[in-house]
Amino acid sequence: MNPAALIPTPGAIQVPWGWFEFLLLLTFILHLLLMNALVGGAVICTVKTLRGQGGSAAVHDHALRLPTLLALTVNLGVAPLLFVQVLYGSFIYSSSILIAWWWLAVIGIIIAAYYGLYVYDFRFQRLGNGGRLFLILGPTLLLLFTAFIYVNNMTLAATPDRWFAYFKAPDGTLLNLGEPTLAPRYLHFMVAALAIGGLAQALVWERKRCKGAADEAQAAEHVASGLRWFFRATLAQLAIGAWFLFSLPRYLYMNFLGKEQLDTLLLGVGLVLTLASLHFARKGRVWPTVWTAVATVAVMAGLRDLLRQAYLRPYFTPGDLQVAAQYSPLVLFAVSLVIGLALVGYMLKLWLKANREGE
Amino acid sequence: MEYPVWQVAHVSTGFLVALISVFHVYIAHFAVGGGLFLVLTELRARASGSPAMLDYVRRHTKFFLLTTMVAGGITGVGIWFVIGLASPEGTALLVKSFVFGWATEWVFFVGEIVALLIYYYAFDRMDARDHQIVGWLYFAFAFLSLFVINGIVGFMLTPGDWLQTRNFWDGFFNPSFWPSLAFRTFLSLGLAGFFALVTAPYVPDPATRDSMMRYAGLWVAAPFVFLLASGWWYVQALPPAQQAMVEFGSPQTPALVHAFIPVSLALVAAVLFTSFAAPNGMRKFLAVSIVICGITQIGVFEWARETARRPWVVYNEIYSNCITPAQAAEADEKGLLATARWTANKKVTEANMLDAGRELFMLQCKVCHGDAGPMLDVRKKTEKYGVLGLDAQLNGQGKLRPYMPPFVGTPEEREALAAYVVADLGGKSIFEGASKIKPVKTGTAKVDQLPFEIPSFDADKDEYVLLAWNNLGMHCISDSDKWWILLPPANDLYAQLIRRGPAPEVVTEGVTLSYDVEKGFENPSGHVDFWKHAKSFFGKELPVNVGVSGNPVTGGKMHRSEDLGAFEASLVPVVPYPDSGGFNPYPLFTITARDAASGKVLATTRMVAPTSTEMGCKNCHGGEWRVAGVAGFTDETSRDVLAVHDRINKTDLVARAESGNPVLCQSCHADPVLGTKGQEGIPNFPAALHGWHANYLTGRGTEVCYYCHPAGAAGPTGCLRGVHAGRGLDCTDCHGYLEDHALSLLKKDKEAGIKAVDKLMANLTPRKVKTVADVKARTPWLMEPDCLSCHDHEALPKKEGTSFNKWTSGKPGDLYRLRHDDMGAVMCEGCHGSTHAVYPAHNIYGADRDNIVPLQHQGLAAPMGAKGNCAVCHTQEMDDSAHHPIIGQ
Repeated sequence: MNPAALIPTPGAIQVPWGWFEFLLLLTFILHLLLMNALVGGAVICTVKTLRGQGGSAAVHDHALRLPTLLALTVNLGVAPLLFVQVLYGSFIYSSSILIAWWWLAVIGIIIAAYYGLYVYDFRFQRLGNGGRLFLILGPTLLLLFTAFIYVNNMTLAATPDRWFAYFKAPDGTLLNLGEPTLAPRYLHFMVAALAIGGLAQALVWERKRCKGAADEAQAAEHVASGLRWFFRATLAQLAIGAWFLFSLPRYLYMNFLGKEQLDTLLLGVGLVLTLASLHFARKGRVWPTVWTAVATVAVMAGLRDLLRQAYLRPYFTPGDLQVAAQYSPLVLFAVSLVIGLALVGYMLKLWLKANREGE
Repeated sequence: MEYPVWQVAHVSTGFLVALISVFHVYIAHFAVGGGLFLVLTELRARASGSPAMLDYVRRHTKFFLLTTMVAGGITGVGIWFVIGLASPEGTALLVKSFVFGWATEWVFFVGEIVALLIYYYAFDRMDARDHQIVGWLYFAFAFLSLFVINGIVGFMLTPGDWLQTRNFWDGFFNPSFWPSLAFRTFLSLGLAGFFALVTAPYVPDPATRDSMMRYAGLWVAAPFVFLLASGWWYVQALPPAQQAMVEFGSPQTPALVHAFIPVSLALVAAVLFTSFAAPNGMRKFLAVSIVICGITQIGVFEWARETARRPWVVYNEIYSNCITPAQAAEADEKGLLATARWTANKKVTEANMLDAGRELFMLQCKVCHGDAGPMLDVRKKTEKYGVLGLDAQLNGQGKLRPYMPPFVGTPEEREALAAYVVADLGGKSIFEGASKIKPVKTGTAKVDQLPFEIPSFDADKDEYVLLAWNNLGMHCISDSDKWWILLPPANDLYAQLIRRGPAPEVVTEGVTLSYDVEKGFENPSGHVDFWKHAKSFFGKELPVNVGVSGNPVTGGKMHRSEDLGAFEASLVPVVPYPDSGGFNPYPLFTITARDAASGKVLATTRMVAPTSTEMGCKNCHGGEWRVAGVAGFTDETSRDVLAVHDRINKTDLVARAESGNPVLCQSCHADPVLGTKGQEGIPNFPAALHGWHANYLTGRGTEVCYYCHPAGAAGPTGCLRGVHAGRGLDCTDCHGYLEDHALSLLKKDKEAGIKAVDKLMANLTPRKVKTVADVKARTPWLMEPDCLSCHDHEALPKKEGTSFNKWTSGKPGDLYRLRHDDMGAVMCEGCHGSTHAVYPAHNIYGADRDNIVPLQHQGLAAPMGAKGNCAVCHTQEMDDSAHHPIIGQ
């Protein structure tokens, strides 16, 4: 049977698809950066706690931020999930249903992880190393598992030919374990989190150092440690990334190796940026590392999107979506966004003011 | 039907939506009201210079953060996840139509999160004025997010002009937007009070503690009257259909709506007690209990709102099972299995029937019905049905009781779905004999042949011919007396005594006619409870074994009718239950004519008085046959008929029966057969009965008549047994298909101005004629198929004839059963036999049981005088007939 027969017919959209593609990528990149800082930070804390450094200032600093990072990660995840449903709803609703219980479990998992991180944060000083280990390891595993479920869902959404598994198990218990790219893809994304988590640590302590908010030597040590995490993880990513690329079917990976112009160019740019970030990290130069790493993440998000489009091209492109134009809601959103961000900016200003006065 | 169905084990997917949603909205509304609470309480604390109060605000902020950000926020995403799983088409519609509304709400979430985090983390560091600004901004963002979601959720219930325009603003600012917003706002304020009670008992300083407890109590009590007022406004703002659904349209909603106020009052009372009166030691426990129980208030509201929307997920756009009306129309024609994408079976076959039924269940039932769990367990809902009954239920679904969507699919698919639910979910057997899933038997029933004696007749010597018959050849009674009755034991016996000779004469003077029932039938009160309840039914006590008009079951006198030139004994209360046990729907009566003066017997004959209790109500109303496994009403069946009537029409018939006062159906529903006028505005009994049930039995053949009427030869009565049946005609040839039959009755009531029939007619399509306008209205019992429509006495009737729409005039004398020959002398039935048993009839209990009168007099089972037997009465051969032209002998 032809997989195309399973693909639901999508409804019309209100503005041309390019708007949604833009918004999707923009908010997804922000989500990725936050998610990487969260998961990477959580893993780093776990590792340090396992090494007996669970009470260190670096770990404590992570602990203070993790709950907020989770809140922002979820929030910035909502936006791309919305836009991806507009563009690829036929695929993502279908795959979500196939893995329904796993997908729904994410809600409970995130709540558990979130509460765990709050306890870890609020009770940090009072907990012994064992308690801290439990409260950081638990949420870390939960977050890693969440990412695993997401990777299952997104890969399944892109491969309608694998949807026939539904007929053997229509009760929402499927995963996409048979997908050849699943392991390298998951690893690539999680090791990226590790890299960005380390980089976030380096950035935080670099700023503390610059503002004189922490002991110079200690801060430098944490910066170096963070950059080391970033460097090693990113180096490994070169290999893992290659593994990921070549785990794709040939007709797809060739897109990135010359067959498609944009895809190949983007991969090339991404590699250059990666190498640049490695160079800067090696040199201990935090901000250039940050900029090149952020740019790398953005490029990688773009590559991921191109890959998805390539997977789906036999069945669908977003251009296929009918447009029943209504621009006024977009205007509503744009105006709300401007005003909202302005107010958020204002509140952050008040916050910074309070911090300065507190010192 | 575009997406795969999440086939969750046992529970409905809708139940999961309900669980997550109610939990979320409870906390989310708290997040809105609580935001105002925080900033106002902070203002109060600072204004009164109370560090203890400010400290309370700080601690409440932490509680607020941990509750609303984590449990509240993430479960909001949870709703989004679960509706995509349970109702992907509906979710896709909401996402695509309101994407920038959702995106705008997301902006407000960003603002909320940033504001709350800053408000909490900078509590002590931030300058008071700045802190309050942040608090106000939090509340503003929270309220705006409520504003947006209110629009979208309200759209689902009352889409308003969006249905025509597809305009975002029409959908957003829909008819219930403002009242819903008001309602939810006041609810939020009350919830802020509930949750404030949780933290207030922990304030160390007693004075501040008491003050905060009272303050929290006021937050609950003060908005309450506005909550009720806006709730009333909300209901009033609903369009008629949704309002009707809230008020009475769905079995559950009235109870829910009525529960809201008592639940709310109880909570307010508990809160006030806790705030103002409870001793300190109890407060923590009480507060937590209130917060836990408090979810029922919003739960009741949200559940009522959801059920008001039935059978839609977006009103008038997509049904609850994510099928649109346009898709349903296509699926009805081509099959749902074929038009849905994710089906393994594309067509129903004998081999895959149950699996196909399972897929059909998943496609259109699963979202609301599980087969376990507290919500709409389909096994409980369908307990009384077999396949036939459930198939009929599905056939009629959504037509008269609109809280469910119509069944989508072909008749074969409908049967497969019924089979799956009855067999696989209900655990009942559905295979009967050799044929699968055919609960209606075909062929001819094997019953004991009952012997009968034909009285003697001497063609040379006998002076009289005695014709006798029952006016109706198909006749029922309902032995459900303890619960209700629609036909009491009441056979109408007729006789005409003819003095033989060259000029035969119908004799009415100087003779007495009497009737005696065959042995074993003299004591009907020993078999049915009718006499125990006669007073309740007819307003008068009846001596046992005496009929409603005073005639005894046996040994009674027939009364002379001058108009008819005949003798009749009306309403003779014979029942089909002989003392020896079992079921015999054809008890014999011996009619004896005597000279009035001398008492000498002039003539005797024997006739069948058909009376059957083979009314198949149990097919849909549950229960089994009461007598001999073939006929009669059990309590279960009888009660269910009333229970369903009570539920649909808000009557109290079950209660009345249980208190010993069962009713006669025709006391409310007019019926010419019993001469009742009924109550105003209520359809007449045959119109109501057929009109209602026809909606559940469309597109069928004559077999559907047999579900209720004892006509089929495969049943234990086989009432349709006369010459017409013998020639292969069935009910539909004269009466039309069930839809036609029902429409002809309903139309009469409609012409009489009875509005109640409109909804019964709305979904019925005539089949014997083109449109409803072509259907001729008829009065039940008084306007019947006219024999003359096929028998014009000029030529033999055509093979393709139908008598539908060709009714008698309405004058009783024009009815076959009350009509006379052209001379106005002999009644038609006298020579031709009863309706449905016109000579020669074939009786399954003994072939010629109905033909005794002609066999006795002319040795031939045929109309009297047929085949040149005029001498039976005329004592000589005749060339011509003055009775009516006779053709094709």
